[in-house]
Amino acid sequence: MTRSQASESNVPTTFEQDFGETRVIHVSGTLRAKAAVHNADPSGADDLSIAAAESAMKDLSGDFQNWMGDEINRLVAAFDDYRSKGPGERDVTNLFRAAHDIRGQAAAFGYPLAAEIAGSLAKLLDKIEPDYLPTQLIAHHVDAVRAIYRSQVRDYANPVAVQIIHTLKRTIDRLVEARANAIAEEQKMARGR
Amino acid sequence: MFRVDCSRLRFLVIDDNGFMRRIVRSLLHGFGTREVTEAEDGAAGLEAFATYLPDIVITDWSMPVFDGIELTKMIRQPDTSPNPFVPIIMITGYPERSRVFEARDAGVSEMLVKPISAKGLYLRIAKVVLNPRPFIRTENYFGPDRRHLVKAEAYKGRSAAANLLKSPSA
Repeated sequence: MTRSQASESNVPTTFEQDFGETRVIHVSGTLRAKAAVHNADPSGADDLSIAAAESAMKDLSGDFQNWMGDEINRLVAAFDDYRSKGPGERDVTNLFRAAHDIRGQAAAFGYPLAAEIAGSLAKLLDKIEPDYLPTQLIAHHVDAVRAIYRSQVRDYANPVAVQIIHTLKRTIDRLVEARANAIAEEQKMARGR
Repeated sequence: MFRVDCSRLRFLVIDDNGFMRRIVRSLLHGFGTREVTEAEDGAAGLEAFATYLPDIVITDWSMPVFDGIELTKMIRQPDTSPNPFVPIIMITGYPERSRVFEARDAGVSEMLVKPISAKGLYLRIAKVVLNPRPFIRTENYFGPDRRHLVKAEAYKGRSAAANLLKSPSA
């Protein structure tokens, strides 16, 4: 069975094939018709566009130092808020979001080590329930990210920073694994009752 | 051989982080794009999607109100969405395999893991424009064919065979 669907501004037309409970819908190439142009380079790459975008990114890079500072302030504020609440009232949403954003952006801002530490913190907050989170370990992560920014550690040549990352990541991995084992054990006991 | 003229495309960028939106916008302007609309969470993104009908959606995964996965599922509602076929490029800090599968099963077209680069973003745009995959509709899924290497030609002639097998006289 085939069917055509009327086009409505940006909505493409379709051609459909029926395979029992599965329908395959071929979307007519409106974007291709709209934006594909012949390229002199047979590889299909558009080096000029990519170079222009890289240049635009470079123009922005003057702001990266301040942006990174703002992201770290957000992380510290979220941790202070987390720490000010008692057990059972703690919400890790803002803290996770701040750590997650640094994990994604710090490398682009020129701080790849901070990205790694924030990634380790985000993993901890994502995998462990709030009541089981070790506050001191979170504090170590926040302090390490702050120290890297303050000391302008931008590459892996700093042995102390690399050792700190290694230790924090290993600790998180062990903790996450131990918690997963404990949960599995609890479930096993519950099934046995 | 073809390349993409991004000046002819409309983009919607959805990210709760203003710095990331600015980076993506700068890259798109670098590619030549003129029309970039921004939204700072999933709800605002869905509203902007219905209002501006962009050619391509670029969204973050982790956002307040509802996240990029929930947003994708809403856009991929074939009976209610203004354009359920729109290419969705998801930018994420989650590189884990399980997360990639989750995004794929929600109907995401392409994924880009942070930190993003000009080349990485351009290649995803080129893929959805120049080599779009067919869409699949089953009881439980609506979205791009989840087999990334499949080409439209692979379905040629198979429709007739499938219908013949279903007919009572076969």
